[in-house]
Amino acid sequence: MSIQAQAVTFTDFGKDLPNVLKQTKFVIDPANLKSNQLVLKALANSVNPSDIHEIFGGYRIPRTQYLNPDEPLYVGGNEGVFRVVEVGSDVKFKKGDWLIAKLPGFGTWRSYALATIEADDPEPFIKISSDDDDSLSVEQAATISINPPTALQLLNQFVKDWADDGNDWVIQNAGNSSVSKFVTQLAKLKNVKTISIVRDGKSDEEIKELQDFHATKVLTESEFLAEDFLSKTLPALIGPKGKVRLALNSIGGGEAVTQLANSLSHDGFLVTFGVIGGGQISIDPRIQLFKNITTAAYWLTANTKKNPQSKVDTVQTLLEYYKQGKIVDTPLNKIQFKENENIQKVFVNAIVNSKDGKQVIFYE
Amino acid sequence: MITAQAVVYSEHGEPKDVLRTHTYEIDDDKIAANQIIVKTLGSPVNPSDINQIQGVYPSKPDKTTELGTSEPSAPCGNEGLFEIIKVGSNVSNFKVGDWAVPSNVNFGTWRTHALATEDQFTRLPNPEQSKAAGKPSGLTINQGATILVNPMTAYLMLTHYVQLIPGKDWFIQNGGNSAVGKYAIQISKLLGFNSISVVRDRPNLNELESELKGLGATQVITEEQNGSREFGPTIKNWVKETGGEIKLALNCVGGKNSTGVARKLANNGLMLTYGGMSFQPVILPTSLHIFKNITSAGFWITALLKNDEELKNKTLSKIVEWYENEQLVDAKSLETPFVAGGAKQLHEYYQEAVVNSAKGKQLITY
Repeated sequence: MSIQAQAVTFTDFGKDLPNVLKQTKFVIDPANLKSNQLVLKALANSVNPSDIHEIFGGYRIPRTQYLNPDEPLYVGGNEGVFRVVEVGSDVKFKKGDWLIAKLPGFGTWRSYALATIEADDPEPFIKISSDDDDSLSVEQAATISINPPTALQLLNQFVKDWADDGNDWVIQNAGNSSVSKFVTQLAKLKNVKTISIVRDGKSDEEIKELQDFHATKVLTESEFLAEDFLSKTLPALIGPKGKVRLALNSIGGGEAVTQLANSLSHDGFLVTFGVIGGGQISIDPRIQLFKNITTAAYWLTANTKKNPQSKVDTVQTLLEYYKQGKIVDTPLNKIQFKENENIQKVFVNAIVNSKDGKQVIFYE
Repeated sequence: MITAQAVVYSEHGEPKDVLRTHTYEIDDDKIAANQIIVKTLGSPVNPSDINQIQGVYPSKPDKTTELGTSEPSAPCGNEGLFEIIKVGSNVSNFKVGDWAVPSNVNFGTWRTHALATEDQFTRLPNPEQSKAAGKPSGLTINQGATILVNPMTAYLMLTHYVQLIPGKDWFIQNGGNSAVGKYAIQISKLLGFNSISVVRDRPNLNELESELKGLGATQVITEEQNGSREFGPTIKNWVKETGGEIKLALNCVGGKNSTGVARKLANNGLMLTYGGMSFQPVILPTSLHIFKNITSAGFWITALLKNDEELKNKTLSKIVEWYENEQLVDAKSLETPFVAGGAKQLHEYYQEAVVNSAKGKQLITY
């Protein structure tokens, strides 16, 4: 029986999402499956800020999967988990396997996918679980491709010799972002302490939530920008042996980022990632020279393109942590997709609601 | 007995207020087996020397009473050229007549003489020795007295961080007309790297451009061109012709100018900021930073060479070799000879030199 499928597609970049994004219906006929093909059914896929900015035309991720090679449609989305429902004879995966795409650009906003394993890219997917393995939830599986790998690589790529004596610190802005919540959990596993900065006016519950994700200290932006932060608050917090070795910036530029760099100890790194709004980073040259502060950038997509195996290794490490209960997934807003709904409308709504938190679409 | 003089300070402040001349005796009949006595041939005034005296530089000499001052005092100056005039019985690295520079910063080079242990100095060939070795030229006093900071900074920034492919790759620098900038132009030419030097627009731009091209600059552009989007394709074409990339940017200006040179970098490029006491913040747009994976780091020669004797000696030998082979032209200093016993005390020479530093690098010769 052929499968009626649909996807959220676009042909041009633009900000008028209800018009730029289209519903594209397509049919997959399992009876005609080639030996190197497989049929994937979406279990759940997510909306990330980078997906949206890709459609705006900001993030240029080369998209690889067209529904129809004659009609170069882009399928939106980069994160999501699929279940194998049909396999060709040469495909090593089994029905019931749970897969994620190894590279960005797969186009995950679709109910089904017909994938072809090409000779020049024999491993486009990573198997992360299966129907008979209940150690990973669908929520965890659907959100394992972007935020948790970003957090793990941010912690490991720049500082390579974290001390496990509790004296090493990370300071980060956007403390209540999903990446930040993974950073605090993963740092805790190394006995590295964390300072998470949040906007003023957060409730006690919101701050308590960050502490539950193992943030050592949560500070409001006003506390962080206070005149005596560098001379008093910070030294008192980290103690005489404490070192702030990594500062993570995902909000852009301005005074708060300069302060982040100024919070670093000798030889520290200011790493900027995931900034979408633009802005400029302004660094006092004296700290670059005399404190040997390096300003670096991080982009998961670039790392994965340069070295796809790094993504596989990172995901494997995270799967282990999930299985052992060492980390937990961060909150998300669950949307149930029904087979007869228009997928374009579901995603346009989800994108609008993204400002309230991460949106994940679950399929029946 | 040698009567020595040194410029010292006991309190930080402006050089015009806090410097004084301390006169003391060195007993040349009683030197220890591992000691040497040196006399000064020349020592310059660097911005970092002034910042040390002001107390705003992160590396500075301890204040001691070693020279016999009544209150703890610190000596001034970090660069200088010296001649060995007496050696202790166990000294193996030096003989009388050799030239030498201090092995470490904070030695105190604004002085007429010094008593030191041999490990406190590094030997340089004097002109007779260079001649005997068949070299086309020997070091001048200016070359020896200014060898430790600017030429070494230029060489290390070009070679220590990024591997530029000779004949293909490029670096871009602002402050192209500065002393370090001119050394970087010459050294990149010697190493086969292409360069783009950004200079301030000025009435005699053509003159400056020919001067820098005479030193080996591949391209010279103005700050306005550095900041202009329209000029971008011109630079892209230059780089395309050599089949290389702009992998390195050297920044000593900051502000928009740092953004401009960073923008020219290829993916994964590095911007090194040096000499940063008095200029504007380093500014990087986040989009450039993230999507081109640009890294911005500081270069401070004092920290880099502090624990790397081998790198320091290797670099020093390279610069000496280029000077001896007349392949490298030194940045000229404005020289003032010190007259012992004259109307002006030693510290007054340096106080005037500090004031005159605005006109160019000042060197006091002895």
